[in-house]
Amino acid sequence: MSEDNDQVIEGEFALVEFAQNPEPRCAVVLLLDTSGSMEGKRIAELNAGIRSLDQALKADPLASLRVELAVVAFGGKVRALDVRQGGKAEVPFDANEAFVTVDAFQPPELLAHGSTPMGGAVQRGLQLVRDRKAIYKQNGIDYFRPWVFLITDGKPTDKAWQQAAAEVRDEEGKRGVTFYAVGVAGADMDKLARFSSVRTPLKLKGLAFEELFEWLSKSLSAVSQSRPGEQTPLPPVGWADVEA
Amino acid sequence: MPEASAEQAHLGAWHVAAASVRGTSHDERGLPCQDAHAFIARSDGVLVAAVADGAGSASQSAVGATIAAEGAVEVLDGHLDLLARSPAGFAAEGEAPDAGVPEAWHAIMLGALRAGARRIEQLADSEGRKSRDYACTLTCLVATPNAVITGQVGDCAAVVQLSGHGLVTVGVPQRGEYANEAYFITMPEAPDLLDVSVVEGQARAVALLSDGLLRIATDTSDFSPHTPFFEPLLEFVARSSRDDANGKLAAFLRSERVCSRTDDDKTLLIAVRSNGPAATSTRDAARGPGTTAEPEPGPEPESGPEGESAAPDDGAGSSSAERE
Repeated sequence: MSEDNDQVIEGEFALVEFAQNPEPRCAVVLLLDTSGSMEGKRIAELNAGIRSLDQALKADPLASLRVELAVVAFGGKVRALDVRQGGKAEVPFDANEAFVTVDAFQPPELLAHGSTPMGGAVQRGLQLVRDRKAIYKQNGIDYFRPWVFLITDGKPTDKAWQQAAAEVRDEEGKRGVTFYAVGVAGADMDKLARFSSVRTPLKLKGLAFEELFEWLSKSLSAVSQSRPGEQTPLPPVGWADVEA
Repeated sequence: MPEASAEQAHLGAWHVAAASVRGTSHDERGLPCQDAHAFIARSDGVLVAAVADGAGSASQSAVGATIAAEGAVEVLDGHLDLLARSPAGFAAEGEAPDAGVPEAWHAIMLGALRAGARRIEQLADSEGRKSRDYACTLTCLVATPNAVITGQVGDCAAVVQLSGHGLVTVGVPQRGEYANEAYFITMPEAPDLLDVSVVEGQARAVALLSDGLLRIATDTSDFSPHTPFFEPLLEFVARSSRDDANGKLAAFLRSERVCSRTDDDKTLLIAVRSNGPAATSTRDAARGPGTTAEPEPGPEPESGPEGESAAPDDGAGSSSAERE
């Protein structure tokens, strides 16, 4: 932007006004296992990981306006957290209330306890994504393909999980969602594999939550700024064990 | 049939300014400007123009965009020569395709699209590459004495102002469901994706823009033009001298004010019809800031023929007769 360019603007083009359009959005649902087995170091590392995701995305001005986060925790029951308020309260499964753009996101402090109703959580997550897209459409807001990101250290304890897995595969088939499943040590990787026909689930190296969320923030920064016709290369997955 | 060819004498010449400039994100990544444009302001007062936007992830898309825009304009110009030589000029119903004969224009625009795609294919073959390495969008525009016709694949936009009317988007950007999905003329399904629009009436001004400008120049919910963006630019083009319009427009597109809002490549082609006669044919085909401009006398282009009202469902002949 040379001075010459800006002088031109001062003169001939000073009257040109720009349209104000909403930023295109990338909805992301974090489906987080907060069952009893996550207690202790795991939940602490998960919480720290979400805080680093928050910091990294907030440091990216465009991503912080474009990425919308919702957190659905499943431990005992399935809850959408009020991430405007640090996740202390629950919100209804309402796409207007559950999602918040990163600039207004307050990372939750998750507590671990109870069973692992993973199937119900996945179904809620998919519904939030569908509802969010409908809201974007109604309001003429451009959007990227939403992400649903599942992290668990166990196996589903609810009956709905097979149905939920089929719903994910169906949604993937319609190119409606990008679904990732991450298993922490102890996770039933075979069952997790049933949730996607596109991606095999990834197994977290030890407690590398920090690296996982760093990767997620970089990926979301890239996706939320991708342009028509561009392939969006995602950073290498250094936080997962390569399956045999 | 009303006699129609005489009105060409009343048509003003086109003032055209156009620039394709590299976006700041392309600067950073060392990518070239992958936008291109081309136009011919014909001596018969008909304007032919095209803009093409190369895909960010296609290595040769800057070349593809240039070939597509230039090839399309050349082919359309050839078609217009044929039309101009036909006894009834641009307005003969049935015989010469014009307003009211959208099928014929569809065929012509398809020809332009295919010409661009074929040239890309030939180059790809000779270079040992694939067509998709040259992937680009293409939006073509023809402004005849009594209609504006656009044909496009992809997400560039064509904005038109008929005399005595407001600005409207005629060539509407095509997008998939997601903001980063796009359609390119190198896709096998491109002929089916081609969108052709025919608007009856005499254009006072037209603009072509690449998708890098959509968010500041249109309401992206329906891509309707943001009039306060275009009006000062139309004024500028109408009154600027032939020599520096392109350079100034390019400088504007490179300015901090624009680049703080869009980091993509940006093309803007603006053509405003003056009251004076169309003198000699001018042409320009450029990638990056062009330097050619209008060699034509420039009386105030302020008002086109007043009371111009396109008769919607009429045949082509009658709307041109109104201008007699």
